[in-house]
Amino acid sequence: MTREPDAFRRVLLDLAETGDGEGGVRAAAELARLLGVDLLGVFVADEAVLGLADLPLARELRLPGYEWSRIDAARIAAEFEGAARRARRLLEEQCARLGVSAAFEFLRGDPAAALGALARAGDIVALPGARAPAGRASGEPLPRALEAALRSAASVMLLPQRIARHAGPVAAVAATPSDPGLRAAAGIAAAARERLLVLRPPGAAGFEEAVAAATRAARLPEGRVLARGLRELSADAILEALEGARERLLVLGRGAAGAARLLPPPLVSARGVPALLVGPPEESPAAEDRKG
Amino acid sequence: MDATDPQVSGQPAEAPPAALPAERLYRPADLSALAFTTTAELEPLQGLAGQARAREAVRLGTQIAADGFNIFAVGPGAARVGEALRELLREAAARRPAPPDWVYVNNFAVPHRPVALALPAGRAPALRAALSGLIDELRAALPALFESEDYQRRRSAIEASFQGEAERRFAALGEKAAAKGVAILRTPMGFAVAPAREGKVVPPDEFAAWPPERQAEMRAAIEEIEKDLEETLRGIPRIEKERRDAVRALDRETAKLAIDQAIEEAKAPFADLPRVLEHLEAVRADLLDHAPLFLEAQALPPDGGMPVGLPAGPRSMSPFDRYDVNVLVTRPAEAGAPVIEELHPTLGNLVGRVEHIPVQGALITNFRLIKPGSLHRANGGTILIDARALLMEPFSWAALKRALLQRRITIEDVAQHIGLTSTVSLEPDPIPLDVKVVLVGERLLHYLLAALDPDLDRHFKIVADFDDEAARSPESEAMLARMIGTIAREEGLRPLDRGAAARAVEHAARLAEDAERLTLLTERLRDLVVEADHWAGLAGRAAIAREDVERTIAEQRRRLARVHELAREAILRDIALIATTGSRVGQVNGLSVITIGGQAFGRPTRITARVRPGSGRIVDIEREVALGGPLHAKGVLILTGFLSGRYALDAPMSLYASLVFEQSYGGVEGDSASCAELLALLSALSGLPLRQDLAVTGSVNQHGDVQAIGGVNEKIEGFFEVCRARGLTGTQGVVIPHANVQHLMLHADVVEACAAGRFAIYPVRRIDEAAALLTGRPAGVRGPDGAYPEGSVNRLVEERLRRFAAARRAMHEGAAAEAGPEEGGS
Repeated sequence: MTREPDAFRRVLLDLAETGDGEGGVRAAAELARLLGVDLLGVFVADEAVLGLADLPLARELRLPGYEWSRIDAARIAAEFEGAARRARRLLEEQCARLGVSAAFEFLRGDPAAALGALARAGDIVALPGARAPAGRASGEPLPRALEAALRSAASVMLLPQRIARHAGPVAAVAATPSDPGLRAAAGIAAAARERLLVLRPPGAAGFEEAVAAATRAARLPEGRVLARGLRELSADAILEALEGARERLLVLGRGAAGAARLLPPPLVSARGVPALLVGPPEESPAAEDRKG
Repeated sequence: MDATDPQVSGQPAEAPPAALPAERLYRPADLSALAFTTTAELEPLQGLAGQARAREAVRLGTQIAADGFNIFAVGPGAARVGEALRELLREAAARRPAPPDWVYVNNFAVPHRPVALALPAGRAPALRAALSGLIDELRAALPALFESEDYQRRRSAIEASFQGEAERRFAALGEKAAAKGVAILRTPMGFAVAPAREGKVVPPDEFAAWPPERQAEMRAAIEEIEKDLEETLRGIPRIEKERRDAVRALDRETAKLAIDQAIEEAKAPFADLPRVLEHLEAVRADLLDHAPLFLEAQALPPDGGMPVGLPAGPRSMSPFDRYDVNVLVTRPAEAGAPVIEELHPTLGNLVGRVEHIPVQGALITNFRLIKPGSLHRANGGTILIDARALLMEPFSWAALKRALLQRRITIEDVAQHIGLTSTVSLEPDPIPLDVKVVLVGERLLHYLLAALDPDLDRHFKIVADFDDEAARSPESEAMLARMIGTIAREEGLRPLDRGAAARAVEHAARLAEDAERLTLLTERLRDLVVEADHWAGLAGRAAIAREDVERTIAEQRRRLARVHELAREAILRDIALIATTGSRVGQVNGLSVITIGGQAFGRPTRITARVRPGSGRIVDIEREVALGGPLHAKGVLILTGFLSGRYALDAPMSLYASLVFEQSYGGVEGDSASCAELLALLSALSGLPLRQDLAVTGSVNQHGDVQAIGGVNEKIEGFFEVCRARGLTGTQGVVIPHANVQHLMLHADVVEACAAGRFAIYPVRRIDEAAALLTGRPAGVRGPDGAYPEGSVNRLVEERLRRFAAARRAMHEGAAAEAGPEEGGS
């Protein structure tokens, strides 16, 4: 079944990766409110960690005391449940404050696979855009969950570690006039009663009509649309164009991301605002690479 | 021997006294010097009329600023001393400048010790507004600064820098672990290390199947990685601290510009107040340290959402409360010094209190919850407190004295006094105290405090003693008429016409129980005027007339006359035996006053005496059964002295006598019946009957002088009413001390009866006059031969006493029997 690119169903928030960061939960809840969708917080207890108890060699370095101890399955399980409860409480507090309908799920398994299994077209998977320093110890450049999300049919929202602003225009980067990111950004800007800032790639024909159509569809008043030109479709050019914009959210179509060969996480870190990747996965750079 | 005693001097004993003329029984008012038709025309009376002594004392007390010269105003409650003082105190206070305002502000260094700041009168609200405005300004400016591109860029650079280092360390560790086939996983409470293959953790059964060498190799690798992991993690807190310090420094630098500007603007109006400037500098420092508060407190996204935080107010819990200003007291500069009346002087109401609010089961407080007491509000001026109310409140009197001694107001918690402690407490800066305290109380209270509390004299050196009465003169009558007119005006009542005013003045004399004095108890006068106004209104009069005042007096008596009427009825029905005709030996009508519920009435009481030979003792039966008080007992003992000093001086007193108030079953006190008791004794000794159509009141001393007593009007009226109820015979009357003539303000019916010759009042100076009146015989004066005239009262008494002495001698000399159980009788 085809779905309108800007018809979102729900926001899926990875609570295990978001951890105690109130900013990330708040950003996800705010997006859910603006889009008028529900928020599902998912906490996945890593089965690989739970299974370590059976490995005789495996030990745990517990913080903040720096004590090494044998891995106790029951204790680890209880600690996962405790972390899940805290995350759930944070989720419910933020959602209650913003008037967003929230649900919670506690799962055991591979976090990347679990979230990927849940995500459907129309969902927005909200994840941290960059791993915390300690996460680099796993040797992976990006969270596996993020990789899985980028491969899924869902849109993906990348959350910065520290959110710079909760107010400001919604910035949209579209590679083509038909980029679903444009309509999504217009809809979010209208819902947030913010301005829409469109970053136009060079030589894009039919762009103004597309912008006009998107703003009409979103019922965004005319004076609320700004435009800036991109010298090229690249991460650096996007960062240049966003100078002084003080945006609250960056929306990119998968096509734009793919065309720019950019990975959103550096944009998210640099700007300190969430980035929403809108569109089906066949346009994602990872899929392109795999095809290539 | 008393040379003045006619019995000694040989001067003739006084003849029985004549009855008082009617004009001596009631002194009418003389308002002839005051020209008015109604009191509406009279100039109102201001200040403490008729209270020159008290007025001067209060004036002196308000003019002396030195410590200890507070004022204790004493007077009966009905004098309405407090009300009278207020006007005088306000006048004095208006001439003094308005005291400084006081505020409490947060002590950032020691939060449980709020700082007290003084500001010139009326400027505290401006300080509060300035700080409130400063915070509002920063709430808009700081978030914008922290959201700016410049700040975000610099912040990101810091994060990246420190995070980069941590990332590099972890990345290196991750690469090393991967190279050695070891996985590092995040656990809820830390990290775990396990063998890995192709990026996944090796399952336990697979690991168990490895050859021992491989297992050992893996163990060594894991140990190495564990060591590296721990070392890496131990380095993180230092990096994190450096990151935090760098962020804090950036935040301070970013916020400084906006904060500095806001603080300088806030300081400008207070450049003349060094302590306020000092506080604003402390605010500046605290703001720089807590700039992120302004980001956390951004409650609402611009497009809506639910608000956070509580409504503003002392009990709200906003993070910006720390910068608030608690205005404790403020007063406009032009208002002058305050005069505060504390009607309920509990400890908290007096010295202020610290309130608490419950938060998650604990009681917490802060400087904003400090509430002023009346001492704070009166500081720099005057406070008026009822002494009795003050003493009835636990801890208040001691707290007031402490405040006066230390010259400062320290907020004290009752819970601390009784050993209960709050979860969080405050020790606010004490505030210097400069106040004039005026206590108002009854005289007895003042006397007790003066006797028992040495601190009273230290702190209340000025006593303003309010007179209950004023000497009666045309001037004072005019003053009282104006006072009554003023009362009517202030109460919104009808004015009094001349007759009503005069009658009210006369009633003031009756209330003073003295024809030559006027009461100054304004409460009683007010009651009179209010009720008279009511009757005048019912009668449709525009002004209160004399008859309205008369009716008021009658109604007031009647409302409280139930007991009086029952007592009279008991007499009329011969339940209580009182004779009002005939004569009897050893029996006399005494008079007493009963006071119940603020009303007093006179009641006749039969007093009897019996005599026989004895050892010289007069038995007061009332005292024997503990119904007689010490003053009554003293009066009876005085009789013994009189008899011993006058009669049978050549023989020992050989009398046994008993005295009793017949049918009296309650307490008897006072010596106002000692004259009657002596007459009863003289009658019993002499065998001469006493007239029962006369009642007697008066105190007698050992020389036989009849002394003044209280309640003379009520006593006379009490006997009169009984005689009138039975039908006046034309011979009835009351014998009173001559010294009480000046107190007579009898009811009109008594005066009329006396004027018509149907009743009489006889003033006596000496017991012999009374004896002559009641026995119809001359009392007798001792002659040159030392004997009293034959048949005189004194002669008969002395002869009887000599016979008692002889009988007693005979008994002592071995006579077989006494002369009989009793001698004398009717």
